[in-house]
Amino acid sequence: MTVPTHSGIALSAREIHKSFGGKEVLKGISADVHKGEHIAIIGPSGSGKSTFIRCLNLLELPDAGTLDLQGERVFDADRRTSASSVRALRRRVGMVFQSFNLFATHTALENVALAQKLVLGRDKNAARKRAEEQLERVGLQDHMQKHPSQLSGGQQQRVAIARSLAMDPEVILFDEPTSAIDPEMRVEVLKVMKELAEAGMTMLMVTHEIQFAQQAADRVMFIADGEALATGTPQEMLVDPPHERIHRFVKAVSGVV
Amino acid sequence: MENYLDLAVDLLPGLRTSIYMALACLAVGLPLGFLAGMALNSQQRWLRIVVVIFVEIFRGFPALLTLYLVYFGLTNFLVVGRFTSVVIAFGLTSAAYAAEIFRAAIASVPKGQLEAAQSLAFTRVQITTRVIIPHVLNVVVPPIIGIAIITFQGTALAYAIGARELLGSAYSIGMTDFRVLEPLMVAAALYLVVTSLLSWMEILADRRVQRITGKASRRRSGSARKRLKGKTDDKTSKSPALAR
Repeated sequence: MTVPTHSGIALSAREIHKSFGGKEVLKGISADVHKGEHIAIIGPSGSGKSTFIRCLNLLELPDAGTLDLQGERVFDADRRTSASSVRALRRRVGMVFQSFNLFATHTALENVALAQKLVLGRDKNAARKRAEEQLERVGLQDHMQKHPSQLSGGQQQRVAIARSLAMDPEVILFDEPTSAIDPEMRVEVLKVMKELAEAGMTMLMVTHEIQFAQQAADRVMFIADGEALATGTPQEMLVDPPHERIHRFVKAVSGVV
Repeated sequence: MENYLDLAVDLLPGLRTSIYMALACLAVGLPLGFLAGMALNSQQRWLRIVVVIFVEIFRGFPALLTLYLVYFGLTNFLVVGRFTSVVIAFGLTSAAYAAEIFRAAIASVPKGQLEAAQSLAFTRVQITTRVIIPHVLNVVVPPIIGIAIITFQGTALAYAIGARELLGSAYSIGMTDFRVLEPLMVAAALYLVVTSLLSWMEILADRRVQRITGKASRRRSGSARKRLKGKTDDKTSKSPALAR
């Protein structure tokens, strides 16, 4: 997989800054995600990579910086942000969380159908049909009527992915999607993500799965101490890292002593 | 034996009054308690203070005192019957207790679910009606049945202002031939039937909550069945609510 240069930029973040209680967590990170591109964000815990990805759908409001979707300015920290403009952005950007965050009182099917009805205004049957399709796509056709508590972590995360897909997002953000799942169950989630990548979905994923990043990502971005230290192909970043810092990280995460 | 059956039949109107009273108290108390619970989660400090004072007063007063205050106090200004007095007094009392339950239930909505709803572009109203309220309705049923049990038992206090509820009618039947014990025992049995029924519903509701949220609710370890078994299962002991 190579960087698709012919297609435009799906999501562009410029100079994103964010502080919590006087501590600067993001010191001006920029990223361009091309249509159909898959970017893996790696880096040590507490480096700001989760905060960065949460800024991209405004779950955290950046203190400074801008966001563009398909060349259209959707957020500018220097201007007033209305609740409806935040929702307009979120409608176009999907999010998959580390802890799945399914609605516990709703079945898997309802989880996937709900936002389609409420946010996109799809009618009941259309939303249901689309939900069934997406649950089938992630291999959960036999679990549609179950509540999240009756599903394994891997299954819950696949419902969450289906829930995001059903909204036809332009980009999906993944915030450490496999970190809260038993190692054995991770494979099924990674497999679904790989299929999505192959189907041309635009994806930005914070992950600790170096091997997966190597296989599925077009580019890898390394964040440390609130800064993007380097970005490059998996080969450049993971096999022959340009920085000593990245080299150390990759060795440690891969379990090489 | 026949004597007791006759007594039970004679006490049925009193039982009916007690049940109506309890239902009316809950009809006042639960919506009020829900609003108070919302207010306790509000960002507005003054609103929280007002509601905390309300809750402290009506949980602090013995229910009988509240009843006396309403019955003897309000009658100075307007005409209130015994039934209405009970509904006002115990409605406020149950609202005060329910407020705390609703407050905790609203605060227990997992933050991640709220974030998921936000990330899916839900509006604030949609988050309240589609995420918060379903969660609250789910977890709140078992403890609310607990409130219903206490409220039902509490209606016996209405005897003190001469209402003809279950205890009052048992006593007055007994006084006709000065054999008080038998009607009281039958009344006791009737109270027990209703509260046991409610306890059983509480257990069923609790199982449902467990099945859906995947964890035990706070009241589970307090159920009669659990106390009889004298142990808590793994799920109960792992519950964060109990661990605190």
